[in-house]
Amino acid sequence: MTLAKASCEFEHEYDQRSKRASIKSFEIEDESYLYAYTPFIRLKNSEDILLIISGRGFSFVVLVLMFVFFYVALQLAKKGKAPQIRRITAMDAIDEAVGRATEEGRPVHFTSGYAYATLSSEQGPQVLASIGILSHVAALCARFDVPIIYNTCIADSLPLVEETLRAAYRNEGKPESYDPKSIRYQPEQSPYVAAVLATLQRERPAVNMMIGGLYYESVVMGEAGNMIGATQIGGTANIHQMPFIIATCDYAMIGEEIFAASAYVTKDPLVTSGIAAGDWTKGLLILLTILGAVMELSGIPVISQLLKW
Amino acid sequence: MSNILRKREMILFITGLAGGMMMFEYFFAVPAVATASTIVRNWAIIISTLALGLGILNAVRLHSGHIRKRTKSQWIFSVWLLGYFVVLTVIGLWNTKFIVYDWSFKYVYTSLSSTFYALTGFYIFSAAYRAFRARSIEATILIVSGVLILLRNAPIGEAIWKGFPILGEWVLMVGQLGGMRTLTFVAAVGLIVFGIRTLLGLERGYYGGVE
Repeated sequence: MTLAKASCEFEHEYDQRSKRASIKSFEIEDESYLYAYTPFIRLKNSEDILLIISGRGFSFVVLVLMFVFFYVALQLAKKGKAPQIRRITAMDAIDEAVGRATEEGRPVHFTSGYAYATLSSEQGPQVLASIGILSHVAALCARFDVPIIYNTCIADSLPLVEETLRAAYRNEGKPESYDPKSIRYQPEQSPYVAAVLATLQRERPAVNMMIGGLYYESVVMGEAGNMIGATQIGGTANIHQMPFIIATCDYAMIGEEIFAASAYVTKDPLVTSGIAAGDWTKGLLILLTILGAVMELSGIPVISQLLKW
Repeated sequence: MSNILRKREMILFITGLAGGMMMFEYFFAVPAVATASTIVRNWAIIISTLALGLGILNAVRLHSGHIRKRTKSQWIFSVWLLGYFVVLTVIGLWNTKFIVYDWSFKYVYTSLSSTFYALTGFYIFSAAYRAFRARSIEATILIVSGVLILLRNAPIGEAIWKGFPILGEWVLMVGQLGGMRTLTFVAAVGLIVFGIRTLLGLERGYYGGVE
């Protein structure tokens, strides 16, 4: 029986009595698919089982190293020697922007982007990171009595967002000010974008924050925000949307900044030390890249072989 | 019971268990863990689907409020939205092949969606105008690169000077590609760090501020 035709083909026999499958033959066109199917291939014979899946050994080592860096940074932070992290201008601008909304008596608008309309997509972490930032923004809005509007098309983020806003108002001692109707759900991308445009045009927020898994809506919402003169803060890790965020927003968080932002706002050295651990990893990987390039050019393919381990 | 489930420690435990399992499955070939991970992933899909019900409740609560308060420039659209929602739900439960159901999706929703997407072109144009005002060194580099790409893609570029497509190609394949790959690399490391923070309970975005 053929399981997949596109890039990988393998036949297997299914034993009804033992309810086990054994692979008869295996053919592959693209080597990268080999790794995806490896867990199933290893089922053929128990002696074939390898501890680490082929091709993922180096990634595992890097991950373990990251945990070690994390531990070291955490210990340093506990001893009061927290590694310094650079400022994120866009995050520092949030206080100022909410202050402006307070003065003008206009609401703050926040949205986490389309993100394939589910937290289970690869965009999910960006949405979770943006909800961490929303927590900070909502607390500021609650403190200064500024209405906050949150538009989303991600149904499974609704309980998180509701709890985040409720907790922000509760922590500021104003649980009665929390309005569940400030969270607005629209299914799918186009209705969501239309609803955001309507919110921007009708309710004229002083601040428009677009942070998360943004797609084509970034430029549409960004331009609509510009038309109403809102202070705009944007951020995404989606490379194809970064130019639009930079072009339309007053303050932009690019790449990893949105992942660091929710830790950054806590100003807690124990939390921000993780960002430093990430920076150390980046340093190590850059060093390996340079070393790998030099060794490869010198005819010593040790690093490239290591990457395939 | 619900109080225990809402405790921060419980949320951290479930996150750690599920995250650890997924990580283990990615690196190690242990059939039992692979099977367990598949089950957990299926649960996630089911929970996500159930969340659609929350979305419906949110929309009904919001729009019925608009209708009740007769919110200016809004309530009539809320009537339309809820009315259409009821009609399509009833028809959908009865027969999804019914012409009204099929037609409204194919010829109304899809067309409107495509129209909306097409509007992006105009927004890009005005965004580009804003970005291309040469106010700084960075903006000047941006405009020069943009013009070179434009002249690479438009036939008039080659007609003016044969070097334009070559320069444009260099900007596209060397100049910007290095920058893009750097951003991808940095974002990936940032994402992994975010994941570790989440697994260690140092990130709070995913549990909505529960104490």
